[in-house]
Amino acid sequence: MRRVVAALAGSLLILALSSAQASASAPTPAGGQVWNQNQRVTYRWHEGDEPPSWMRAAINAAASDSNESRSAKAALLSHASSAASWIGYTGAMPTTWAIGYTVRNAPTSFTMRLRPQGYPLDWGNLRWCQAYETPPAGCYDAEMIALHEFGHVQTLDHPNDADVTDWTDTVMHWAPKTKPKAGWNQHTFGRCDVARLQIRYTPLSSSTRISTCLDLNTDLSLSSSMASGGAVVLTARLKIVDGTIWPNLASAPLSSRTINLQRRAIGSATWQSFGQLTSLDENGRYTKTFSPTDSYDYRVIFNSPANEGLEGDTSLVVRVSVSNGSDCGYGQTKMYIC
Amino acid sequence: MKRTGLAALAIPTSVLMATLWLAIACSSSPGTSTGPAQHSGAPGQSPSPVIDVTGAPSTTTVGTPVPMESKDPNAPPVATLSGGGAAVQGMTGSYCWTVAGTSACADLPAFTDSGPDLPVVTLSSADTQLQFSLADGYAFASWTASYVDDNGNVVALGGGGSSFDPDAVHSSAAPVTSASFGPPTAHDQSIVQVFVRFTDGGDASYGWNVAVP
Repeated sequence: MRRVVAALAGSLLILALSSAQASASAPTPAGGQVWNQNQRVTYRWHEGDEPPSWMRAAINAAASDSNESRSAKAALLSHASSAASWIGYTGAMPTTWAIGYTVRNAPTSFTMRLRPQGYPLDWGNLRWCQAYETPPAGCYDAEMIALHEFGHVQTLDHPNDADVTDWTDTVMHWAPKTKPKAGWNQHTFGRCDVARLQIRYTPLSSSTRISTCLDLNTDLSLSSSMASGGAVVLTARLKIVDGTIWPNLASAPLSSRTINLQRRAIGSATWQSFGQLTSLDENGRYTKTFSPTDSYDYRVIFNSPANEGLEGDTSLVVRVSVSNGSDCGYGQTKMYIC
Repeated sequence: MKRTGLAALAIPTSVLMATLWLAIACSSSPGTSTGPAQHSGAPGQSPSPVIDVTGAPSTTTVGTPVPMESKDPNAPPVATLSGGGAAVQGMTGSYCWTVAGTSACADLPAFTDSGPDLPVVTLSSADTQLQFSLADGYAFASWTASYVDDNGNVVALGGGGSSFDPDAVHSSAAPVTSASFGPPTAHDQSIVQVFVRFTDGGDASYGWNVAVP
């Protein structure tokens, strides 16, 4: 009888890869009551202040931009003919020179006001790019400004520009740009906006990429079990560490990442690649099944991805001993293959 | 001379903001803050009343009459800047402010020469420190001050305080009630802007024209 013993050698190796992400910008500030996760929030055009068709299209596009780029369970925004929230195209704002003004009462409703085309401000007459076939320099992109306002709806505030490394890290600047400066027509939330939405609402799913504006430690564990036919199943689990400073993200499972498997001969110090584990489910589990022919130590490695704000981690070592009937020792759980 | 038309609206704004983060990021934040607050902004607290500067005593600092640009009941407290004399109320720019669970955010163009006339603070000497504070000593968590130089670059004048993250474990910000920073380089008038974040969330930007001999 052939005997396979798989054991967790807990103290053999604890390696932590530390290929830290460059993440100078901070998550966009936010405050106040959040909406429910994935809450559908509809808005209507304010009676008497209905935007012209080009502005409506820009606003609806901005709602789609918010929905598609949120990468979190933030509110889902859309227009409806009847809704508690409304958007008006009006110069009647409680502050003299604002071009946009948003009030939110999450999780109930919001109101948004955008000043009309041509409205006289002390800087000059307000011009929305969408009002022109060929938008002139100096116009405000209505879709970007509406996305900014929807950012306020989602509870985002303005960042201190001193905390922002790249202008496009956020669409929530306290003084938005006009055409043709970089970022004037940004139609997605910036990575630091997404970071805050992920902090406040949690990522959209365990497969959702974590914003590079974050820098989160991960925890990668490895276990083993027997399968029929003399096979061994290695199962890894990847999650954000329990102790991260943002409770909404603590212990969150991470699926669909690349988990590399390595092995080494017993007594050797040299690790060799042994393929990858396959993402098993939305609980951050990964697996690989194989039939060992000799005894090895195994570990799994999650390398810090360039496109995510996650630190890498390396699991503890699992030993799989293969013998022909003799006791492998160690006192570990023993699994037999007949 | 004040420029008019939308180009005037756009170009200075863009120039201003394109360089803001660069200048501030490179700053050594030489300014100082004063704290802790005598009273801080509690959630839901109403903004403090406007400081009346019209009756200020005669000093080297002159306050230019400023229109009340904000009638927003959800607006943050007004801010003042002084350079050794009377405090001059600034123009409030973009902000987010929460009162009793209702959050209001106003978005304005950047402070530029082509925008509204900003209140003027005239310094008597080029080494006079500027003092920033909110009405009634209202507290804030962090601040950054900067000005726009002749080339349109935004140059940091100072910054301080601590960050506040309402979503983080053990998040707290040590409140400050005033900030002090050096003046821009000598110029007839330079736009000085101060951005603050409040201890309980929200933010506000304020602008002045500062004349340095």
